[in-house]
Amino acid sequence: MTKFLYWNTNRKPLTSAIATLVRAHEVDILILSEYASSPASMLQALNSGARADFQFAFDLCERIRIFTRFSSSFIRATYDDDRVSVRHLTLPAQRQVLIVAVHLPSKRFWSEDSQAFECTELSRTVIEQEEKVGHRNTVLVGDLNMNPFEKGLVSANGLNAVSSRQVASRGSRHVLSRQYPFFFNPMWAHFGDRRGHPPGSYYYDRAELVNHYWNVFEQVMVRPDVMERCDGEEIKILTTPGDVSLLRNDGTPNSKDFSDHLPLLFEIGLKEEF
Amino acid sequence: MAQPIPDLWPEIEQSQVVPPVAILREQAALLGKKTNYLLEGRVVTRTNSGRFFHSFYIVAPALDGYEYKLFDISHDERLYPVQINVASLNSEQEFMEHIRDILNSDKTKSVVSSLLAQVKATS
Repeated sequence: MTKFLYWNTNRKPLTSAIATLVRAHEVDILILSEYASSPASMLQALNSGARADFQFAFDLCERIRIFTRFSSSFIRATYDDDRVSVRHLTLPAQRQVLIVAVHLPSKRFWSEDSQAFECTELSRTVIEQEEKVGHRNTVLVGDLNMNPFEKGLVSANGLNAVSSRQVASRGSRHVLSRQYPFFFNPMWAHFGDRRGHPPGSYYYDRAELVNHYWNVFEQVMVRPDVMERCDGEEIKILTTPGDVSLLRNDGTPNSKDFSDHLPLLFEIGLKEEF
Repeated sequence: MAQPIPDLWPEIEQSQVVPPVAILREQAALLGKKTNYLLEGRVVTRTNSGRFFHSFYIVAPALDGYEYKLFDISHDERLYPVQINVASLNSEQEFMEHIRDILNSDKTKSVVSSLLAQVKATS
């Protein structure tokens, strides 16, 4: 299995905490957004142990940084913009995968409608890149700044991301004679109190009538073509790098010392049977 | 015998205003010439709800068609004003000055030079 870790570090100096998480969970692909330090300092921390095999993958999206435990030549950039970075992962004898790393605009600055329209643009970009590489083994990951139930994620011309593997396995749906490919979004299962799990990945409390408090903004979603290779039980919103907690005593993210977002760990089986 | 139906249209004059997309396409073509076609510009146009949306990409053919989206603009059927991020540009002149600023920004220069270095390193 190939292990992925995504974390919006909110421009905090968290290099040491990130490296601890990577080592503890034997992460293969590290994806960061809002990483404040230089890629060189991250590499130094990642490669300071016995194994020095992490590389920084070339990109032009400064909001998103990607580090890999293998040659960066296996994770070629196909597309970047200010908030999206698309990579084609082509490891030897393994299933090729298109990785779409995103950090979409915050609700503090964008209306829900604008966020939804941005998902339409993102969906179009993903489909164009899938056509370019010739497959739909696509994994989309990042801080979407939207919950899985919001319009941009569930609408057909948005990301069309559904909560059910069975529905997603239909491949696509038609609306007014137009075809829209599905994503399966396993993050629906990460709302609410469950033993040993935080009730979301991002906490926000404000004095207004509708308040979700806990949100699941950090998400991974997969196309049906790789759905069976993504075990929902292995998707974890992390709360501890080593012995330190990322949470305050009240259970909310300790945004003073760490990020206001919690990291997301997941794995995808890429091995091909011959 | 019925009378022939007359032409009710006025003389149709072409607008002298240069459309924003024409300005973008010209800049896209110039990028190829300036980089010996190691990099190319591409403009993609879409329409939605009466608005025209144009996206400007830098493409590196030698990097398997890698694309970097530099900016998006939109306008309605009147061509101007053009919306770009939070700016509203009311004339062809204002629009060209804004595009000049984007193309001459440190960010764009950094993207172009990084891509050129990457292309040369892989060839």
